[in-house]
Amino acid sequence: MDTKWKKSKGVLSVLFLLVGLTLMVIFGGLTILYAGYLSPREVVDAFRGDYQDTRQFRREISYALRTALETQVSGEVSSALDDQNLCWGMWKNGSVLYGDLSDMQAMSRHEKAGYNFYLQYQNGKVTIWKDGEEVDIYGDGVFREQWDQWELPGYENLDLFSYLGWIGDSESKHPIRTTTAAADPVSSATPVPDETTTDENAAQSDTENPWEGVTIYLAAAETPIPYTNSSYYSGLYGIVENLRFTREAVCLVGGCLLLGVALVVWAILWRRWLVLAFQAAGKVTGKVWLEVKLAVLAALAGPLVLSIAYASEPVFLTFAIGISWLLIFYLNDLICNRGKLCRVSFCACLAGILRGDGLELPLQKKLLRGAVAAYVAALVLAAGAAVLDMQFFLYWMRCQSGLPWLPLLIGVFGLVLLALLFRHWKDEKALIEDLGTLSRQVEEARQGREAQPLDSVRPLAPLSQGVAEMGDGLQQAVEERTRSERMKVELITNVSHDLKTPLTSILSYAELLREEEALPDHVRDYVQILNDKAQRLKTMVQEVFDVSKAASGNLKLQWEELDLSKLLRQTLADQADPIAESGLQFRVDLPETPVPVRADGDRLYRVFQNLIHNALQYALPGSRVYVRLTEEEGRAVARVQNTSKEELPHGVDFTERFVRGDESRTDGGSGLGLAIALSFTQACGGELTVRTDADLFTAQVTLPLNTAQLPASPDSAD
Amino acid sequence: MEPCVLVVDDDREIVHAIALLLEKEGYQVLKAYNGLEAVELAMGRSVQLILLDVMMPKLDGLSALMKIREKRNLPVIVLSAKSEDSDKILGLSMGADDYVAKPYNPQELVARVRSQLRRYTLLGDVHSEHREGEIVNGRLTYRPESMELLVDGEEVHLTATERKIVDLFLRNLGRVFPAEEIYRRVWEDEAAYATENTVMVHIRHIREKIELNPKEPEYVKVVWGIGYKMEKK
Repeated sequence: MDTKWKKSKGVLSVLFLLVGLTLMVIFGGLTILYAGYLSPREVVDAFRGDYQDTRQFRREISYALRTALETQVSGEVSSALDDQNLCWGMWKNGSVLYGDLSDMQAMSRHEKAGYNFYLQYQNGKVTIWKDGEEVDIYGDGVFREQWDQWELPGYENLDLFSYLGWIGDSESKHPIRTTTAAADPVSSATPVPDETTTDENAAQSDTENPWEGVTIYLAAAETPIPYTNSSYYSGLYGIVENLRFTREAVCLVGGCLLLGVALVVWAILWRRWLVLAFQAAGKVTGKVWLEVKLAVLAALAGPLVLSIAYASEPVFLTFAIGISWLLIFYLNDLICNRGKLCRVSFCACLAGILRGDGLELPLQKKLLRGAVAAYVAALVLAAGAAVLDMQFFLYWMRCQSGLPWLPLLIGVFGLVLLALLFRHWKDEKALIEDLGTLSRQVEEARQGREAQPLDSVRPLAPLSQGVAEMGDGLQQAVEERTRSERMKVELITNVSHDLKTPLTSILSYAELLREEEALPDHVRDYVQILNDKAQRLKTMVQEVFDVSKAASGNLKLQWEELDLSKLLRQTLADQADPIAESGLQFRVDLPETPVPVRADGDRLYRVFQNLIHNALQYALPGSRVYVRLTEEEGRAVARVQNTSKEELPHGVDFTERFVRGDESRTDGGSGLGLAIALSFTQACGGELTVRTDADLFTAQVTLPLNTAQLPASPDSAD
Repeated sequence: MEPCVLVVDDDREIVHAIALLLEKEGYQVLKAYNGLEAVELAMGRSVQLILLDVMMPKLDGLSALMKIREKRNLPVIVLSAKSEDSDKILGLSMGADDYVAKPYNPQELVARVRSQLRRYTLLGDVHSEHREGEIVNGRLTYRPESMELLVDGEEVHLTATERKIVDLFLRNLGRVFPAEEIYRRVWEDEAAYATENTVMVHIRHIREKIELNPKEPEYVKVVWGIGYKMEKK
């Protein structure tokens, strides 16, 4: 569940990154493109909500006014004034020049239905009402005399006279003089064409201004409506449409760009999973043969170039994007599997098979690899043959008459062969997989674990079943043996307990007897003998117990890293008294440097104590005993050598229980010393060998060296 | 009045032998032959120490020990034919003060009884108050400022070298010292030839003075192949 989520997180982060990058590239490009012919002001206008508060509207209004003024001069009504969303009319000296009288009257009262913007031009002065209120277009509400243009903040300013000059009729460059009375916007708030205006116009007619006494009304619809079926909209509705389009385009492009950035940021936040996912992808692509990758790349190169060239078409763009994504995986593959790209290839695989590499691979992998290579080679061959056969077929058709039976026959045989090959491949694959499972099952059984046998429908199911049953049988035998071992240990424990209880009494009463004062000397001797033998019995019982436990593998060990050289030195020091009493000369040769081994110190001490004890007991009086420790081939080898006082029998294993050098068994040894030494050495992972050469008796303990060095003793650290 | 010892074992001869041994040392002895009798006697009389066998009919030794521990806090030495370390640890964890494996050494047994009784009667409880600065480790009490070592409350005479070694060990309970380090710190000299022997000789002498059975030491121990240490009790 958790890993599933992690996996999907990785996939998601890769997706986010790719989609985000793509969005950023496409819409980033579009943004740059748009920025070329869309000024920021236009973008701001598009979001204003009121289309009459935009630059385009003002321009349109300016043009409309200008066209109206032109009309007055030229006498032709321009088609630019056809817009039904923009109503207009002209009035001169009390008579309607253009437009409908009722419309004019409605406009002059600012109450034409559906229209909320009214402009009045009179004697070069412009007044604008919007939503029934006069708009203060001059900033401070005062119109000042201008020379030859009407100048409104934000509106297109017209150089009327130079325009007239262009028309070519008038050389007059007189300023448009307006009366001061008209300068008061309040008094002109009722721009009804009345006598006053007429008077004014009449009074100023001598200035030869063609617009003297002209009053123009313009009214703009509140909500422009389309009035033609044309797909191209002009006029005010065109402005509205244009604004809507700008708005939508900005929203779409900006939104997609933001989404892209957000996705990329998200992917970066999940970079841990992103990296993991890319590594996983690299692992997957790392397994694909290089030839396959190159072939796919070559196949994609043409379409990629083509689709990039025609990227403006959505279909090709999608194609280009898809291929680019694939290229990212190629790049990832290049990064992740740098240096081993060539190794994972059909050629390398083939070469490896021919060289006989991969012996360390599991069985089924090895078999499968060879089979796959062979089948791929066969398929390539078949494809080649098919092409040749086709050529042959065409050639036959062209050059020979009759049925092209030979190429057809070859084709049919080829298909049959392929079918057989495919069938055989499936069988072989199943067999190979079964072999792998079976070998795993055998391995599990070898390690004493249980493994699921093969399904009964599989080809090797009977064999697998047999292995499983064999494992069960083995398991039973092991359990049986474990139980008997446990019983053996219990028996030993019980016997030793039963021996110890009477022994306790014997020892106790022997001690009491020994402390008895009124005993004749010979009785005192008997008591001493009793005591000594009881003591020996006690030692033997303990030793038998130890040996039995070690032999049945029930010895608990305290593993430690220790210095074997030091252990030998300590053991010799511990046995200093018996050594001194024996009269034997000990020649000790131990390395000064630590000889690290991993073992149970107490048990190893018992080993060497027994070996030294053995030497003390059986060495020729006055002879020398050699104790030597060396390192040989990664192993620590300790030897105790002595010259036997008795002649050593030939072909006797001295480490057998109860075996002693002399058959008569009259001395003090239990015969268990070497057996204990052997058991304990083996328990510590070492070997004990005993060699005899004439009178020379050599006991050799071999232990594996602990390669992890002992920590330097504080002594040498100072 | 002589201290009273309760001896418990299902083997009558062993009980008798131990009784004789202890009576010779001047102890008063009470005998019991199974766990139930032991619990009864331990409750009723002024018993000061119990020698308890483990494998007994009716009520085994360890169960009897738990019952006795519920009522009385007196030294108990467990006697058992089981000599494995695990058995020893089990006995001690059940509340025994000491553990003696059968067949025991009579002299050692007597020594152990004496030691436990001394600690019980002279020092009171094992966990009693002790003087400031004293290091107490089982039967050992060490006064670092005067370098005096007391075993079961009795001062032990040590030579100057032994005292230095004991000082080193008791100040570092449980720490393993290689012979070279002991040599350098005690003799204040670089380790020379046969360091191991020199140190071992002194260790043996110390053991004879403080251990109940020097052959099977409980306090000063050899860590084979590594060094020497004072077991922390």
